[in-house]
Amino acid sequence: MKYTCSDGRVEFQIDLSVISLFAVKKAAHKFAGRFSVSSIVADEGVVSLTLSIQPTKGSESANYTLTTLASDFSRELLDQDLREKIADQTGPLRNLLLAEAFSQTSLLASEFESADYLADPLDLSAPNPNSLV
Amino acid sequence: MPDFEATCGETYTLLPFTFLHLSSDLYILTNMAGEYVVVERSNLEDLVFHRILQGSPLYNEFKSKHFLIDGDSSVGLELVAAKVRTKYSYLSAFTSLHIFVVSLRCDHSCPYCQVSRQSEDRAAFDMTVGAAEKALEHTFRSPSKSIKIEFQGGEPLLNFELIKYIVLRAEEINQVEKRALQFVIATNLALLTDEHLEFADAHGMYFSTSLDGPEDLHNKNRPRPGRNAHQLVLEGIRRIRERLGKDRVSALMTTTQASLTRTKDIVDEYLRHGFHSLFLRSISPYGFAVKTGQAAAYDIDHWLDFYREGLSYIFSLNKQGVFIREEYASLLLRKMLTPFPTGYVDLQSPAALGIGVVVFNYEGSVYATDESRMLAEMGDNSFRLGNLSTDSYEDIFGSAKLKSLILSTMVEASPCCSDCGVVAFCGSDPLFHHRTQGDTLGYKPTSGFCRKNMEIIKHLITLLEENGAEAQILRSWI
Repeated sequence: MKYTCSDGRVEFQIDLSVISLFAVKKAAHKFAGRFSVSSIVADEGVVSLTLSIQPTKGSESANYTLTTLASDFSRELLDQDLREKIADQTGPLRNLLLAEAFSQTSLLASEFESADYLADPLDLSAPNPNSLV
Repeated sequence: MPDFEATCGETYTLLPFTFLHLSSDLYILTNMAGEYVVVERSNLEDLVFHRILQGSPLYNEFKSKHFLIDGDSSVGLELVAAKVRTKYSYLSAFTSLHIFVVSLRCDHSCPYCQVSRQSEDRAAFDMTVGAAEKALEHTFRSPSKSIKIEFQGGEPLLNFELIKYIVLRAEEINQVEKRALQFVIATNLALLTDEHLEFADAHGMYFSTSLDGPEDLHNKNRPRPGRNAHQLVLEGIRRIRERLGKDRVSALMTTTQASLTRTKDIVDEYLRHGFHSLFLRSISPYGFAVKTGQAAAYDIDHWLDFYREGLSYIFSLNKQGVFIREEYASLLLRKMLTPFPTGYVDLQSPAALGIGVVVFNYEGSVYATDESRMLAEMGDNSFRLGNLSTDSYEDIFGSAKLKSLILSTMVEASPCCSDCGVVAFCGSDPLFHHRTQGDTLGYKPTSGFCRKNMEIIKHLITLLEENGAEAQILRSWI
């Protein structure tokens, strides 16, 4: 990965064998408050990304130099790559934890927990005419 | 010896977590259980690539806070799941705070007021007994074991007869329902009488009022005929404390453009009048705050400067032995350092729309939050859930509209938030994002709400990690 700064823009050349296009897009999205994406082109395993500094109302952008923002964005690219690796390792466990966490909560009033499903005391089988689905 | 015996931790399993850059080479790591740890990037990479030495202090810290499990921690998953369940436990209680807007009439003309101001003479803006009865019926349909009824306005004391009616009826209903019932009146105290105090005393009621700072600042923020809002609120506070007790009245301040350079004066004012907690709030972009330009008067950076200055001054006072707590920091600390929910609507995911709080407006409309009715005063009914006269409890609380709104507030599954290193401590403010960005979920790269919370949380974590006097003070607030 390398970048050059000039005229309020930063141009990145990112090797897609090192950082995925998805990670690049996530980093660009996260920095959308400070940069706008002027162009993004993926060609032969390399993505060329041009970011233009965003004029904002607040004082935030005034405190950053283009070099600082470019450096921060480089770090974010590496962070997004690391997040992908974490997600690869922990995705199934995350779903398992959520399932375990909510498996012991009742979705019904406790007095209906042992009700006969054929009796359907809460009329759950009837379609909801107000549902958006 | 432990280091000598340590082995490469190839056998540990990574548990889900997110991270956020804190400063220089430091990162905050947080997990679903709400635990956090601050490490250097090299440690973060070592963790992910299984290079942490088993038995090392860093390994033990990661293990104790559920960032990894190994063969010796077979109950790790169950523990994390239990902590996740505890964090979301408030959801099963459903709606606990029920706001009754008993009147839209008011004697003040606050520039940031988020509801229409009406003169004291216009009785057409009072809630009727019929609407109150319907609202009470909906209130006790909630499964929550704790029911709080808060009276708001306008100025609710202008319709005190209805407040008495609602309190007596609620207590009558509660003889069967047996909930933990609490009443609060949110009032400017300008119209407080002995009759009000007597009734409040007899029924264990609380008062919540506004104190924006010293006299000149408070009166500037809250003009009324006689220009004596500050004098009246202090007199009211004194009388409530004398009659009901010191803890029966609380105060909130609202930040305006005029407040931003008066941080110390505001803190001193609270201390001067016996308050030992202060909520340094930002202004909301609704109602008259928008019409009078207050909402646009300052950006989030200026407010953050105001907040940091206020917090710093509060720390200096605590170091001198004067206890005073900043409430927003306390709420965040409770989320960061305990497994328990806070009940604060802006720090919940999913948002508390209807499921934590509901508003019954004077004319019968039902709104998802307090700000929703203020949005409606601007002609935007996006968060209006129904009407007491036409809609049943199931129509309102089981509506597709409410479910859709709630679904859109789950930050755990939204862009930017889902892998944010501090999402466990944050929440969602769908009305703020709807108002400022036209989207209830919010576009976080430009969100003032996100920026505010991010900066404050990072500031608090930095102080905790420095482990100096400020860290001790912060820990004393929870």
